[in-house]
Amino acid sequence: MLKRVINITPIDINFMTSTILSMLPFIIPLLIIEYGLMIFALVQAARNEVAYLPKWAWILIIVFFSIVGPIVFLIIGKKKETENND
Amino acid sequence: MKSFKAYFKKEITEAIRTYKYLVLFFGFIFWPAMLGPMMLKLLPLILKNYMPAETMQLFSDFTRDYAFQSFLSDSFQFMLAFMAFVLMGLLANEVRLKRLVFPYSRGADPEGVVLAKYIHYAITVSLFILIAFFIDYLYVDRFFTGGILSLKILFESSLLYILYFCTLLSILLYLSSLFRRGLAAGFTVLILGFSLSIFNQFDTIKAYFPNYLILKAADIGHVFDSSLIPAIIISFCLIILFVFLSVLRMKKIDVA
Amino acid sequence: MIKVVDLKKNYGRVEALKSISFEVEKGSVFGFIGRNGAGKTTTMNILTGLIKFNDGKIIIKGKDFQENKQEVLKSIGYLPETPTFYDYMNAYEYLRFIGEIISYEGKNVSKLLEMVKLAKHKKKRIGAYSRGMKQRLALAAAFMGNPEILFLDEPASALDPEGRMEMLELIEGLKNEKITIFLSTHILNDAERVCNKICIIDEGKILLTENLSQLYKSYIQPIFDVEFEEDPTDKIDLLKKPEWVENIKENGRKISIYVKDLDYAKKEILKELSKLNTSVVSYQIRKSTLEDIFMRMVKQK
Repeated sequence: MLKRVINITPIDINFMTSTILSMLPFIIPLLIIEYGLMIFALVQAARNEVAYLPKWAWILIIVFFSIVGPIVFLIIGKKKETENND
Repeated sequence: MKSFKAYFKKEITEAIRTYKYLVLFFGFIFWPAMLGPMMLKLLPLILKNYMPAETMQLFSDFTRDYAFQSFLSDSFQFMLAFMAFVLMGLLANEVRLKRLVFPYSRGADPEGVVLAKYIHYAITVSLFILIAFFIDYLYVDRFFTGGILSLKILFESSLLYILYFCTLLSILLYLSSLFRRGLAAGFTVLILGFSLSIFNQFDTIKAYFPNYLILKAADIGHVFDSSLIPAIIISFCLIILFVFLSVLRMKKIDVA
Repeated sequence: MIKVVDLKKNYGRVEALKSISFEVEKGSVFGFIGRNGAGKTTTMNILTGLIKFNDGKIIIKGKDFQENKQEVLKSIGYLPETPTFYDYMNAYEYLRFIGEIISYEGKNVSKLLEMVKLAKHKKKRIGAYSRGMKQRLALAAAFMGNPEILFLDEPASALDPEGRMEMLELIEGLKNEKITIFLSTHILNDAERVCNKICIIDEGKILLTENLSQLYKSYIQPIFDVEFEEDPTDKIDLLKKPEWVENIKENGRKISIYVKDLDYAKKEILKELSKLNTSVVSYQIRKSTLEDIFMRMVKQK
């Protein structure tokens, strides 16, 4: 069974690339949105005060956990000033 | 009416500036409707060389119908979780953070506040669901073949999802007025949404629970039929009941 | 204008307000004074419809408050002790928002911002405002649409000395415009300066309600403070002789003479002092400040 792992024929590779190429118009918007969100979250993290974790930790989270990282940061990471007033 | 207008605008400003629309977009549209079909298509290609040929046989005949049903079950979970956690503070935060002191002391009426919140997010959730379904159709139609999936079926399913999520939204709204911390409301709705699906196992009573709407949405070919009537009526009654209870609660609650 | 009868409020088992009654006349500045936790804010939150109460009756502008809450609130403005806003809005947006609720003309909002000196910062997020700026924005929100009754909860205590002066001047200005002001404070100097009527509350009970001028008259103390150039210890026994002297307290070169009859003592005391044949540096009747009265009231209990 393990032998199959290295059993990639040229035909297979051809098939894979052609499928992926045909999907490109659908993959590109996904990548744009994903990186757009990441950059947006990074800008927000750089320009605002952050809560719970140090800034560098948030930046790592945003960069390495794609989509989830930026979203978690946007929901809970930004400091809300009046929350701790009383 | 004045309070309604003021709060409706405020909810839009708030949803933009606190990224609620953005986060809902990812939970409602990006993940289930865009990334979902993509993964479904790529998975067999990636796994191809790690799996025995017999198992691969299972993946090869994905139809559009199957891809759409897979989207339905993904989106149910994603939408439920995102709605619960993004909107859990709908009323709880207003009360806990004393944001209502000024509006209430200037005579804002609780009916307007609650209705504005509910209607704004009901519209938001409905629109996001519609968009998610149509984008999913684009992807599914492009990547898969076969099956009887049509725009009509898709539209009917999306209407059932909309009604279901508007029902859960009203429950979330009420729980959010009940609990001091939004998190409690969020978790309760999440558990409620998943656990009510258990009733779909019991043929005699399943038609009387809102989760039947979700079950029927995946019943490609006969999404709309008369068996839905009790669940639809019950869902509308629940919406009215919980919005009404929220108004009552917001009238009585101490906001300072 | 405002009439409160036997108002009671419990938080669980704790009685925050133990049946309080008072009346505020139209156009007056009503000073509500007491220590922290005495029940001031609770009372104001009730009168502005933010929290429920357990028992009693409130009549505002001749109408039962509970039955006409929404309507009555239209003519009330409230400045809470720690104002909270929607932080993601800016000052202009927030005032427009409140303005929409009370149908206040949008174009007047800019003037209002000018009045509280926030015009420069109107595009800044409220979340980034300083405490003093928030307080001024809160004042604008409370004052919007010229309410007939203004509730001010500790309006000056969070401000710097300059801001505090401005706030007091503003209140004095409002007094002339016939606006009824209900002012709670624990800074007695402030109350003394702007209020017509004083109400002292402690532990959920009202100790006294009195016009300020009347208060001074009835609480003037029969005490004379005398200061000598040298320590007068050896001569004090002489002063104790007259029967109208009740007691004498010594404190170095200063003594305090407590008398039984103030009017009689006023005539006699100088004669007695001259008999001592020593140098008197100063001599005065002790004037009660609101602070003395307050301390006495609270201690008596």
